Amino acid sequence: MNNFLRSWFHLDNIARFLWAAVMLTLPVTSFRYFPFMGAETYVRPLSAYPLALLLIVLFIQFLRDHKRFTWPGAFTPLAAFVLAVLAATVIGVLFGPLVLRGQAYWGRALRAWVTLILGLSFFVSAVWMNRNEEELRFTIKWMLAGFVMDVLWSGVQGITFYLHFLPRTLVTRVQLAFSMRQLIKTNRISGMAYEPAWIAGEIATVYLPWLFASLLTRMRMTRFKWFELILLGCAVLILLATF
Amino acid sequence: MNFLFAPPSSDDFIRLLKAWKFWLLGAIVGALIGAAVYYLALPPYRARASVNVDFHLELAWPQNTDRQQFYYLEREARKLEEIAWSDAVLNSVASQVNGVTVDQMRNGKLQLSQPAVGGWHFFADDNDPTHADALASAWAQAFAKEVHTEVVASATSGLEPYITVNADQVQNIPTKRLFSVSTYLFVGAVVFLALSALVVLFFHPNPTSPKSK
Repeated sequence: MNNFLRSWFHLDNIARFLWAAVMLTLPVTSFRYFPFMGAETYVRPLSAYPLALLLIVLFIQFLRDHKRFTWPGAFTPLAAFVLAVLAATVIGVLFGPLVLRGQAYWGRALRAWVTLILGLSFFVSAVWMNRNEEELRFTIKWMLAGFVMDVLWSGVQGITFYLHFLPRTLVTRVQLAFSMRQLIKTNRISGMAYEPAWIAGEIATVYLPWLFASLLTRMRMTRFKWFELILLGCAVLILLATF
Repeated sequence: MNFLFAPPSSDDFIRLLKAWKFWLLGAIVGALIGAAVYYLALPPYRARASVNVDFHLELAWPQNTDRQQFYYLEREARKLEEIAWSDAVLNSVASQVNGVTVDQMRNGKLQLSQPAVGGWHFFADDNDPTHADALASAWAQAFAKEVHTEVVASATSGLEPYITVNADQVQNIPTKRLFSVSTYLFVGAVVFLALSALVVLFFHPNPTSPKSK
């Protein structure tokens, strides 16, 4: 039992668990419970929680043995980009920008920086959690598991909109338990994202390339060979239902 | 001679962190340069006058169809924006305030910030605070007067008759320098810090020379 606990609490296992949670929760773009964000911020991914914990674990691992982490060449130009963004942000204030629809310059700059830092966190974690084929397979498995959740919730929305099997108020209430947004009034599927355009963006940039590549290369993540094909069909259907 | 075209490696970051004295010095030099620039070329004053604009949406568009209401609001706000920059309004400002042309006003001296419904802010920049004050105040008043005239003649002007405008803040309006010295200090420090870090990342004295080892 002690050995089991010790192995479970090994930093590598915790990192894998947190990375799986990041991939699984990726579809929830506007999680309701996020501190210090106010009611006006809609980009608040649920995956930021496990990601924050994962970064702490990765940092501890890095301190213990920094040689185990590969250092991709992309990090240097990325650092140069961040420095350029830093300089551009402060130079921008010298243009004396006006308050635009209640948003002052520093508020907008802060939001842009939070977005950049979030993106950098995802990038660094993705680089360090995918160092070989086995780790990449693990990532894709959990990414597809997250997409299955998204497909199921999109199905519930579809049943509510088009078949009227479920009461709209009930589904809205359940959606509001995790999302900032209620069901779209115009009967467009939004899945677990804030709005239809966001889920379409997620599918087009994250899920569709992997599913398509899986069909082309005949590489399967599970023993069910039809799994990716069905998911690809669902992705296309959801894309159509977002209009 | 330099690392600009060399393949990136983890050494880049180690070198960057080791050179903390260099980029800290860069930040201090940048702050000093920022302060010097501030006192050599003082930034202009900016005055702000405000006009309260109400489209009375509940009267103009009683149906509860949010998309059409947004469209209506945007359309009418665009019309008012055109009036703010119209010849009639700017000529009126030029006749009231000496030493400024319509061309100067349209090319950066005046700036408008509007949230559609609510306080429309009329900004004027000038090296003389009283001149900036007079410009912003005259512009806001001329705008309110012109809109009122066109609303009264709504049948021919194209403006909706429900629109009301009130020049609420045109006297003793807030006028201050566009930037404080602390802004220049901060900008100078951050820009030079970033530049110093970029220099450390991409340029390096000859690594084979004994001094650099």
